[in-house]
Amino acid sequence: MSNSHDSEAVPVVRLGPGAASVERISGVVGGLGILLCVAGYFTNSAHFFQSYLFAFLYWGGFAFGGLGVLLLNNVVGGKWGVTTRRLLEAKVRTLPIVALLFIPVLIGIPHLYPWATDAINHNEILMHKRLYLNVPFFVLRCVIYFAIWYFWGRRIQTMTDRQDATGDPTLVVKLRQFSAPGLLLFVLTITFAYIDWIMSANAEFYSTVFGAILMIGNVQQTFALTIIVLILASKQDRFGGRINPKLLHDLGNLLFAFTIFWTYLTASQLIIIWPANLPQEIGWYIDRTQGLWKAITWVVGLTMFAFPFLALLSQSRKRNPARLIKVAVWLLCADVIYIFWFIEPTYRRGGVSVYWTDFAAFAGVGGIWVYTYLGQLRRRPLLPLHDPRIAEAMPALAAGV
Amino acid sequence: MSEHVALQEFSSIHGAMVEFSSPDDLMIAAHQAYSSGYRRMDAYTPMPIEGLAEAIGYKKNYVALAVLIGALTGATGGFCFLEWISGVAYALNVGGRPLNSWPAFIPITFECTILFSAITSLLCVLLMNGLPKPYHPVFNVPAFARASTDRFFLCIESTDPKFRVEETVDFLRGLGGNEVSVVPA
Repeated sequence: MSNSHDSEAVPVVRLGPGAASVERISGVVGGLGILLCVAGYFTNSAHFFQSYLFAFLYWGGFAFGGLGVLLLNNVVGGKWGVTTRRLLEAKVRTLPIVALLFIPVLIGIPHLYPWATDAINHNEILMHKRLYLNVPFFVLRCVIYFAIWYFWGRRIQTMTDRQDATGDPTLVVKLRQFSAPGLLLFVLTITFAYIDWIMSANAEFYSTVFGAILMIGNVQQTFALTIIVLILASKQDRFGGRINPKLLHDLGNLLFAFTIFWTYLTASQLIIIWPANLPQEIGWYIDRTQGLWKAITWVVGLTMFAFPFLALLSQSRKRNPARLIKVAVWLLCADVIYIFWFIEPTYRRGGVSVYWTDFAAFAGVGGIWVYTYLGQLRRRPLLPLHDPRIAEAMPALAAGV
Repeated sequence: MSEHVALQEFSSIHGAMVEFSSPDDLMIAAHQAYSSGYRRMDAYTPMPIEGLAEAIGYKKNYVALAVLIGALTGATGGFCFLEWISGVAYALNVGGRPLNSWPAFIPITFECTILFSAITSLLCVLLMNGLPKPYHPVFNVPAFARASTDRFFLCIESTDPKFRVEETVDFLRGLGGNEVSVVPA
């Protein structure tokens, strides 16, 4: 029964001391990781940049996914997005750091992309792509992408800060109007970004759903992290019954939906490219079925689709914080293998090789990202204070129906 | 009292029904009826009311399980059918592709999964609700016509072990509804 219209004030909740110590630890891990990265750069720069691209795309994915989900929710509405807004905004607020963390990728261009090497003079396909794939234009495009993302993220937060301060009800409409074109631009720019950052590492391969596959992966990853942080932060019912089975059910359903969407896009690409068997396209799959990569391909299929799909079919699991958080953690771990599998076979042809720089870069970028994320999250109250659409308090949280 | 005479006239009785003007009143009444020990009852409302089904003792049904079984049947059936066609019955070499071209079978497997789930859920709706049902006793009460516009009804059925016509009618009167009627079968 939920006719208790939420008249009492939204509690001002902040992250506790547990988060502060996680923040400190990840800062230290990040610092050590970056030192190791520097060592990796000087020992084997080609290996280092491959590892770094993987680490950057995994952790940067939270910031991009966070922006996408924030824009989407501002446009289409839904209490789940209002109640989790601060968690999404904190991800978006890491964008300046993510942009800084992108600089090593720019330094690594000659090691990562065949169009920036001598190969461009011998490969006819690459020669034709020269007008678009060249270093100055690549750098310019990256600057444009980050500028657009930063601008939209920044403006949205200025508005929600004002909503917290004044409670102005017209801001909900203004947010929607501002976010709609942003959503369109975001989907376009992230598609172009992923074509630049990942697809162009393969001289000949092209796929029109490439950007969408990665973007939807980012959104799924964002929902998983949001669910984890929300459930951990709402221990002892500090949100006054707002993190209730109904809200978790919504978030669980979204995680489920994006798991299916990711599978749909991934399977579509396979269904189109595999039967056609064209030499320019099929190489991408051949790289991923050589040696041990084939086993990892199956692992990705099982961990990213089969297990989470079956787990999230259950309605009671989506409504129970202790059980839902396990699926979310599972997906975040599966995503590490998935992103590794998505990027590395292009460079490590013929079989799986794992370098120590993979771990160093992952820890370095990850530590710094988590440090920034938690720092941003601790700055502001965890719930929007004056949004009329925030989830109503439900007393039945502890039951976890 | 005239009603007591009227009660004798019905050869058999479907149950006793009370009318409310608001969903909240119905909700309170449903909780009271359940806690007073009544189990076989049904509520009729113009729109879905959250928590009402649970209040009158709804337990988990088997729709989800049946649809899951339907989906798995569709998926394995569709996939095996294609394997049989392409691998056994009409084994053609198409451009050197293996006979077991499973990526090409995904769309049909998916469609069969959806088709079988949809058919199963449709059958569940019909069978588990006892449809089609051309006659239902609750319509014998003229006021019941408003159940599809602006009135909320709770009906305790005569199959309930605790059902005694006069006692139950008195109990329903005590719930503070508009009108209590005996529903002839």
